[in-house]
Amino acid sequence: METRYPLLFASTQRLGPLVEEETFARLDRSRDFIASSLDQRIPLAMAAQKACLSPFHYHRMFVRAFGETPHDFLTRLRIDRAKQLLARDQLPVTEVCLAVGYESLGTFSSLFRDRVGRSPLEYRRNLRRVFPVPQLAPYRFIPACFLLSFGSRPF
Amino acid sequence: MIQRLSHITIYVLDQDAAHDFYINKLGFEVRTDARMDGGFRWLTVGPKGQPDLEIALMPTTPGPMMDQETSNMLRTLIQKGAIGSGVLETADCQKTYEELSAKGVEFSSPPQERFYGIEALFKDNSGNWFSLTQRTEKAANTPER
Repeated sequence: METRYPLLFASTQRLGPLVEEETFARLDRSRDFIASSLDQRIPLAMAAQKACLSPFHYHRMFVRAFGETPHDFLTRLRIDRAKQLLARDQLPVTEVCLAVGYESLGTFSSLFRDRVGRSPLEYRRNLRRVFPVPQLAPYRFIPACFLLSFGSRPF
Repeated sequence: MIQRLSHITIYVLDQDAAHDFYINKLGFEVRTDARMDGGFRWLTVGPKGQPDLEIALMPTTPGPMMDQETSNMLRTLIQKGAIGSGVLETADCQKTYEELSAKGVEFSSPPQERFYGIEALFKDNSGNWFSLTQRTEKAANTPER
């Protein structure tokens, strides 16, 4: 028996109660579905159906389980994917926009700027400036201290 | 004021093996997987319920911040199970224990009743140990947001 490490929980602050096991598994399935259909329109009702929950209940439980709304989750993945495409590929911004499921370049650009702090084009130029080899460009933030500890160049 | 934890490090013996363990056994998801110049691989993962937390699975490769001797010592400590890496929360400790055991996760302690909940202890495939806890105390059940 392992009794070396009794754990004491000092903090009582939490996001809220965890979601019951089976519901979490259903929500997870639906979340995987969303993640696999980034380039398509996914109505809330369709995502909810994948979890066999009513749209209202689905939305509420999703937030509780994953800490973000289904829409925020989808947007986050789309922006991540867009960053990846902008960093590594030669696709024009309009095609990146379409590839991640946005029909309007205006909507995509302002959303991107809102989340990333730069327009898609500025983002690409900035990364390319420090990464001459696009394939190596990370599309997420890597703390410089970690890079330095391995002798990689911070950026 | 510090408000949140965004990145935390877990040293692992082998990043490929750790990737397999954390993704395919624990059910975490990859947050970032980028190979940098110099061969450094920045691999971060996280549990699905915490989208903004990145757990960096760091290799013990010697480099500017760690000499060969330190690296060897660190590997020994990890393998000995001297390093506790955190508490993971579940809604059903017994069920998760069974699922993870079936996948070959090594538990050093099966689910047991504690005053704060039900807790089991397991190791990752490097030797880092975790608590898997289902909290039952009232405080854990604050009203949802």
